[in-house]
Amino acid sequence: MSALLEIRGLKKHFGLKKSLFQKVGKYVHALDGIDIDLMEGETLSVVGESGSGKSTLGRTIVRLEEPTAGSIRYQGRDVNGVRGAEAQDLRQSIQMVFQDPYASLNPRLTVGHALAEPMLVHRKVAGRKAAKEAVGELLSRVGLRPEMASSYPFAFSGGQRQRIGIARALALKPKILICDEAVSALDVSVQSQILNLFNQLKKEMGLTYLFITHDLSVVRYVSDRIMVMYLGQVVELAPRDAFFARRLHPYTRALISAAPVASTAPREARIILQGEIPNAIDPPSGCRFHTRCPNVMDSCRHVEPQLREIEPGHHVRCHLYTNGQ
Amino acid sequence: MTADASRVSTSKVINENVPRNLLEFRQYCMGFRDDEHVHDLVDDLTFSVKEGSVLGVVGESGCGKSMTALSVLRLLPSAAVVQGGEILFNGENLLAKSEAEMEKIRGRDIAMVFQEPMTSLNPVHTVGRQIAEVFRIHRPAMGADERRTATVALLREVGIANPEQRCDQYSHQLSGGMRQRVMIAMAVACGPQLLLADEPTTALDGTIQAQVLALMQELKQQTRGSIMLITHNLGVVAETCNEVVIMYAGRIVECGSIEQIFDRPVHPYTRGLLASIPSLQGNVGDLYSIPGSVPSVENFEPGCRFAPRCGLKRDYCSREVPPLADIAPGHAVACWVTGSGRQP
Repeated sequence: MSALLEIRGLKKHFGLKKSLFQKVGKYVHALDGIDIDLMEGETLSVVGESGSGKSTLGRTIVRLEEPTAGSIRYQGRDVNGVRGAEAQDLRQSIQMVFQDPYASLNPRLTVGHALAEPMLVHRKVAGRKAAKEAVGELLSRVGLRPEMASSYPFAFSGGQRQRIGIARALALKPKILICDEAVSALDVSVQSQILNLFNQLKKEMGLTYLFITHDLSVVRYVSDRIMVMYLGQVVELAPRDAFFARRLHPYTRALISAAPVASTAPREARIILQGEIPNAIDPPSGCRFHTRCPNVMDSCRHVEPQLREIEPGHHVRCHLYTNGQ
Repeated sequence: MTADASRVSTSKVINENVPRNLLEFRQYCMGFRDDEHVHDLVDDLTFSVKEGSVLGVVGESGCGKSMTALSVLRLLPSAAVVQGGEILFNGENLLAKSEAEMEKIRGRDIAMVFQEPMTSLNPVHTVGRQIAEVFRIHRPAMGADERRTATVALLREVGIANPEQRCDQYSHQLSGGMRQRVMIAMAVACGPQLLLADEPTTALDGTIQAQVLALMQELKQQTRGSIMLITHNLGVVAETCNEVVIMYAGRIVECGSIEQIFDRPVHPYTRGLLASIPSLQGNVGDLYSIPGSVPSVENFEPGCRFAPRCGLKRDYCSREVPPLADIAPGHAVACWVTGSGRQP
């Protein structure tokens, strides 16, 4: 397997203006030095709480945001360097599925129209008639009926709308699908349908996913690898089974332990973190997690830990695992 | 909570051993007006919240669980129509009370915590002032200084650091978790006998949700209070509730103790719902999923409303409404096939 998407030293800082006429003073450090190799055919999940930078990561990859520093390479080509036809080609290859399918569908376009538009713009189909056929095919692929193409988004339930959002992302036959909280707004019984659909499409179409979510239990069902973000940095990255078995970083442990379990069986004692995720304008010195960490040591306050490979494929950013400890 | 020390003695605890029904729904029905039609949503709701216990009301969006909570406080939207039944609180029918009587009950005897603390807090008043308002209305004898002291004490009890400073801040200056703590402080200010919590942790991050759930546990132990918790999250229910009501499309499909529902679920919907939850343990094959989607209020079936999605469906299921009948003490199911009701 080769890396389909190669991200190196990615930074995104948002400038804050104090007032209309002032120059930018402070910066929100949304992403601070992210390195990712997204392998062809894998699902990499990005997990984090609000303010961790996980959504900014997805938006930066599809160029909805311009990075402050660092590079994103798709099949060896720099995503930000390309212009014109090549840029169009890249856009087709990386598509996004958003959290709220209702807000991301135009209420005045029929579903068929919304799905046909990208195919016509990118000249994927020869004309309206061919587009109609392609739309029907797309709809059946995501588990809807082709005749639903003539309905408007309001006529669909939440789960059906998310299927339409997925169909739209698939319209240009992308290689990579970035799913930003794509199942978070759905009811439990519908959420499992959509998760299964993602897995089925991956097998059928050989898709590669970057799956952004806050819900660790969902992640287990779709991921090959899992990456945890905290305040714009990666704190742990591991293959799925090693991730849940080892849970090296204290933040990972707390996240897993925080999830309520739908069972009456006795559970291990919950780790409850103190305080809240600090402000990304002025991230804490040293390790960014030290203000809430139950295992905090003196060095954590001053020295920033690096992301290190502890075991093959298992990376963690924590002083507990540096200096041979 | 000790914000109001007199509460314990004034509350109507008669017999410590037998928990009595604090809140009781009896054949409650409500619907929505839409042009000339009235669509039935909540149908024949009968259940009770026992004193000192936490009852979870579980269901997916559109099943009427929030309407059930709002019905108790008589805060339903204007398109809603109450079609019948009773909601008894301490044996008195809330539906028969005047608006003036309800105003006395809201916030003092029954309080509510809403899902979205940002939209439920007033952005132009400090949070301290909003909490003190509860005292101003329900404890008119309190002076301004006394109110301030009580407010700061409340904020400290719900785990807000620097309560003196936070008291003078506005909701936009607080994080989501802190706003929800303020909402909880406001709700428990007068030591209500019943707390209604509508998805209190749904909008919060995982680690913050764990904090707020721990706070609610603490409050429950301190007050011997009764809580009706409305949620779609079965994990939250399993960890906080004593009893559960499972709703589907406006009707109760199954109710019982936590053990009965989670260890011995009977109704096909309850079983399907439990099976479709992604878990942190067990094998990772395909997830079970219930086919189809929740019907909207205009498209309810005449018989069992779950029938179109049910794997065990028989012909008569779409024609006749299955009654909610006991299959074991405290465990009731509304199903023609798996329940104890005789088939039509």
